[in-house]
Amino acid sequence: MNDHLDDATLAAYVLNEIGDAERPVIEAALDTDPAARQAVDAFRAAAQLATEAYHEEPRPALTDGQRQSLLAQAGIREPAGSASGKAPTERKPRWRRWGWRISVAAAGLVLILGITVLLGKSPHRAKQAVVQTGEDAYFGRPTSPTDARQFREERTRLGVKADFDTSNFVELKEGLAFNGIWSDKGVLDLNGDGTIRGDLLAPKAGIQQESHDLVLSYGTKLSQGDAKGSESSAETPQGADAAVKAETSAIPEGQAPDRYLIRNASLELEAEDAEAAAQQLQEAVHTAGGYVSGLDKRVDGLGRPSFNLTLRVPADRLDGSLDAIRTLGRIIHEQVTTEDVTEEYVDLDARLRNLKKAEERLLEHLRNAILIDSTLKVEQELTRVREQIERFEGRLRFLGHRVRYSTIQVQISQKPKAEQMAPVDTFSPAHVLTQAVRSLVEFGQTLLTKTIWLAVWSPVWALGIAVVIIAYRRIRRRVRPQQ
Amino acid sequence: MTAETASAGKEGWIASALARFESPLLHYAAHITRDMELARDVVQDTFLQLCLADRARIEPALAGWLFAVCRNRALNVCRKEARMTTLDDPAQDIPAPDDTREAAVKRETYRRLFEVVGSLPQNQQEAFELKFRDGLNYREISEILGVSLGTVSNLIAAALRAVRTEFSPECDRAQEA
Repeated sequence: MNDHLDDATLAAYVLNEIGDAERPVIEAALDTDPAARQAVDAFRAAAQLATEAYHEEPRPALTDGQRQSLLAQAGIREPAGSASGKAPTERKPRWRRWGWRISVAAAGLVLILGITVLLGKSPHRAKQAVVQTGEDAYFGRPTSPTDARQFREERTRLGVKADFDTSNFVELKEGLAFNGIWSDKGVLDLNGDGTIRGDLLAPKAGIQQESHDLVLSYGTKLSQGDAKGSESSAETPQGADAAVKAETSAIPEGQAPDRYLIRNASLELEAEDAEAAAQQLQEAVHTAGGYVSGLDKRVDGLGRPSFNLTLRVPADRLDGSLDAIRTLGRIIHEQVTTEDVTEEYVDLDARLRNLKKAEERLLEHLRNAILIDSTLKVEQELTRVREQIERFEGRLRFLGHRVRYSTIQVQISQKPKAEQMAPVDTFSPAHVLTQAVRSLVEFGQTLLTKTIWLAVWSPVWALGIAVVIIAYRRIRRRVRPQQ
Repeated sequence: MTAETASAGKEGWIASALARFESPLLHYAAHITRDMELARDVVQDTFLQLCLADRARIEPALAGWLFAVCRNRALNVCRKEARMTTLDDPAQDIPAPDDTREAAVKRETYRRLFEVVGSLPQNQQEAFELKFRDGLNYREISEILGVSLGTVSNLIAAALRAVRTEFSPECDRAQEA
């Protein structure tokens, strides 16, 4: 293959990543290089396969709540029931679709309670309707005679299978959408265009039915925008109450610092008596209100002990504890680190508060749920939320503990004692004798080593000597006759 | 241009960016975080950043900007979470199988391809997916990954070579076709 047509160039050529100037040059080279042409074809086939494979992949999407929150941030109001720019929901697992429906419904429930309280009505006496559009269950609670008559008419026209007279709930056949809310005055429209009458509608061809779980009071006209507002406010951290925080935070509300700092230290020191120093250190830690979380003792070949201790002391006593440690011996190494976990702590705390509120809303929804299917789905979602709550609480507790207690790693080694050194010029017959014997042994060893080497290599050097001797004798024979 | 017009223009711009890049960014973030729920948070944050960003500065290189922000945010989240959870079972997301044998063969081929790509070094995987899944060009990929164009070219060529080696018969058939 042509040298300048490497794989990177060929791949770039296949993927149209080559400049216009280079393209003709490469094409000319390809015409004269069958191997390169073959490589190009193989790359093209591989690229085509990859493109097709990724094209067939399911397209994940943001949750409806996230998208609405984003669009609200950008100042865009999504039309009711529209699915602008969204991936088809049938690609998402059913429980996920249900998950955000529940959250929207729960947000709506909070909205109702708020409105009810504002209007001075008892929440238990408020008429409620739960309306869903999409392909799951649809139910509402029309209670007035007008509603009942309207519903019967629609039911007859559309072939609704459930009888709300007996169950007080409306259930439509799969594939139908209830694009409105039943009320005392009829059906409230969700499109926010001011019309009072809604209708039971079959989904329009080509339009993806999107779900809107809303729980609203009868006789209260609420637009889709209001429902969105209630959802976003419910998810806003500012709306969370302090009681929830106090309950779940690893650091009590009143003692929450401005910054969450984890301060740790590590020291390495040399003590005259490591055992005593370790003992003093443990006592000092207990006095400071801390504790020893790990102790590792080792004794070396000379019988000198060394200790590795992991200490936890209250963060506000860290400096005092370090001063105490410094008095125990000579400091060889010292390091104090500070990690700011404020962002993570605040983030976790906010998430936890939101999850707590979501849990409350789900519990409320569970109490109001009548259909078994709905109950199961809410319980499923509740389990998921509680798992997350436990995870976040665990992490917060961990962080809180690390903030409140500093970790000190201390390594204590014993100072080596000075050895008695003999004078350099001191004569010692025994030492001389030892040296002489050692020298003799070394000589013998060396001699033996050489002999073994010579013996092993004898075929080589013997052959050489034999050649030399034979040559010498032949030369002598030739020389003698001449003489 | 009035402030209202500019605002309306920006809203439309963000909506169209959301429609175009939502799924690719989710794939990309999920690839880094190994958690679809975290990926959703990351992508939401990315678009929130877009809402606050200066349109004039970003628009010429929107794709590169979005993926770069998404990548940084995803890596931060990974560091913060300090955990790697298993990605949702891909089988959950695979569409219901068709009845035809041809469709079954295709699914198997695609599954093998994803396996091959998954076994590549991280930087090759990333470059390959940005190219073929998200349709970005070399320049955009180099900006996102913070490497030179030559490196991107080498990464993608190496990944393609691995795919080509694994799928020689299929590639041969495709060539013949």
